[in-house]
Amino acid sequence: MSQDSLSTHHCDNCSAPLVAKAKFCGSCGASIKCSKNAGLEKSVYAIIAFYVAFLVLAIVNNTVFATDYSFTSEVIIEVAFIVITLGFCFLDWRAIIRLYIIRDIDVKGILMTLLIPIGSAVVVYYGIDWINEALGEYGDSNMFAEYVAYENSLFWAIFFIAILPPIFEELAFRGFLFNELRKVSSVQVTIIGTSFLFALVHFSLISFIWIFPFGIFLGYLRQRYQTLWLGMIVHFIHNFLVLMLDYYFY
Amino acid sequence: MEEKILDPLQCSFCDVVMEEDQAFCVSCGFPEKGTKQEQSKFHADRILNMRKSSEARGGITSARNILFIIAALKMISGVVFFFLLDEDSEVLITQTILAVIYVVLGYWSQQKPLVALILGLLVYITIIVLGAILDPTTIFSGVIIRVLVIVYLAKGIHAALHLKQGIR
Repeated sequence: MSQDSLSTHHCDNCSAPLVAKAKFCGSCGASIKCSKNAGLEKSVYAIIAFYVAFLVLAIVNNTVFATDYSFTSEVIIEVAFIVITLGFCFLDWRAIIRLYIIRDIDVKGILMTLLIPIGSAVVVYYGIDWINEALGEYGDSNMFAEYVAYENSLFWAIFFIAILPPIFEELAFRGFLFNELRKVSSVQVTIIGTSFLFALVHFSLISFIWIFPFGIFLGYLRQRYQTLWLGMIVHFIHNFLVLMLDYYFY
Repeated sequence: MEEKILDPLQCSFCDVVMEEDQAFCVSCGFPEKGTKQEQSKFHADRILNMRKSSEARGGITSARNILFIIAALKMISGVVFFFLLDEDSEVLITQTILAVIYVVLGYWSQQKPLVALILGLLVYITIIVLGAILDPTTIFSGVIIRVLVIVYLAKGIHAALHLKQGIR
């Protein structure tokens, strides 16, 4: 038995040793359930505050900058997003840092990381076209189109779509949110909950249908390999391929 | 008297066998070696906790019912907009997806009240914000109902949190 598992068998209140399956401490009468779940509300408030901060950012993005969409406004929003994410991560940075340790990944993990995003990019790209046609929508959803006006448009499109989101969305959802939600619930519930919120902040109920399972896959990788690197690679390949298809067909 | 000492020590509240060195029952927390006063405080606390627990369960149930009501309203408004007011199919599809999400969260709140209600609250707020962004005139529509829904969901989250922590 390791030192860690031994220490969990001591009462938090009076540090007397606990019998297996005890619900109360035998020597001081403190409830084990209460002391184990003492910091729970902090995590719940952190999750809600984090999500609301994103909503506020979305409101600012869509009201203040809606009239003059420009390179500067894009940079401001991205910087605000990064600052919010890093600020919340600072609350429990030790647990976050651990997710950046380079670990040995088995062949199955590497194959999943490289192949699944290729499949998902193709499905999403043609799936969106299909849905738009089925709905009779003619609004264009070409991601590259937003960046055409810039100098070095392809570079900025890759930077804002394929580089930044994988790094910071993974940190936000598979890093901070995952850790906090894990404190309040089981592994399965945490994966479902983070994917749910991940799909929700993309602000499109139709894309909810594919972002939710994509998030579950990312959450699974995060839990199975205890690292953010695989999720970042998956996210990058997916976003990059969809962007490249948009660029090719633009 | 001698026979009694040979018997294993039992908790006089829940009959679980106790060790010699334990002052409290590890299963129910009864102060076996405490004073009369401490023991009656245990009983009083237990009844208080039971009442608070049932109150908390009530809070969760009302929050769950709110989720079901929102789901029904979404579905009805989707159908009305699409079939009676001839809006495009996007309205029907988004309202249906939303209704499904609320129903699923409502049912899920029976097993995992805390997370299901947090997600329900965040979906609700997101939809308000999304509506306000798409059409700023909707910000103040039904503001009292919106506040009530948020308060009930927040109360449900609070109750679920207390239930999970074990009410003190």
